Amino acid sequence: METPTKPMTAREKIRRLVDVKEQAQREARERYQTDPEYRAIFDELRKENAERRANK
Amino acid sequence: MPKDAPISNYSFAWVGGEHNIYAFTTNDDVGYEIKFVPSAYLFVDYLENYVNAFEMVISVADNPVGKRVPADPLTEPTIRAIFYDFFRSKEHVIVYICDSSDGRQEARFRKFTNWYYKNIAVDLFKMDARLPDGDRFTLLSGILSKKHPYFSQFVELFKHLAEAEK
Repeated sequence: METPTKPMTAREKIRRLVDVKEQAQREARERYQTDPEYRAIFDELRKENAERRANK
Repeated sequence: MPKDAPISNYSFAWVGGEHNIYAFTTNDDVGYEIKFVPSAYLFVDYLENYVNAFEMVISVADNPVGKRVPADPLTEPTIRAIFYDFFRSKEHVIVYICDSSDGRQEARFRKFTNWYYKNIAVDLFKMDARLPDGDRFTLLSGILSKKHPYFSQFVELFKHLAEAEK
């Protein structure tokens, strides 16, 4: 029989929101360091910015 | 649009994934990631139905400048453009927590609030909660359409979150 899940308190929900935010920020930095495909997206965007500046 | 026309925001890319990732870079080559993390758990105690709730997280993926990210007038409009790109559905609820890791959460919250009131889309509704967190405050905002089917549950949730420490 399934045990009913205990409802999360407001404090627990806020803690989870903060934890998700901190983890996401950490992951973004790590992914940039380790995932060449991900880094390539930023390189392409930088190239676009540079071209736009050059065309001014 | 001609290539040399003034721009109102940076180009951004949809990276995708289960966390709905967008990316953009600034003229200082700072790389930002904007993520919308599914957060339906916020509503589980209020509804049996699934709610399209997302936590918006703004991250600096790469800062080649080194120290503090330089102020850039196009960063805010770019994040706004990404927000509206994602927030196409009236069924979405977006929750945003200001980053408090460097103690500048008040400034970020003011910026976010100014942005919201300056550029509010007519049918959007925003609620804020300011929550004590040790010697700091956690500042939380939630945005949804006034026509959202679970509008009243959202208001209830935010009232509940705002009273977390009382």
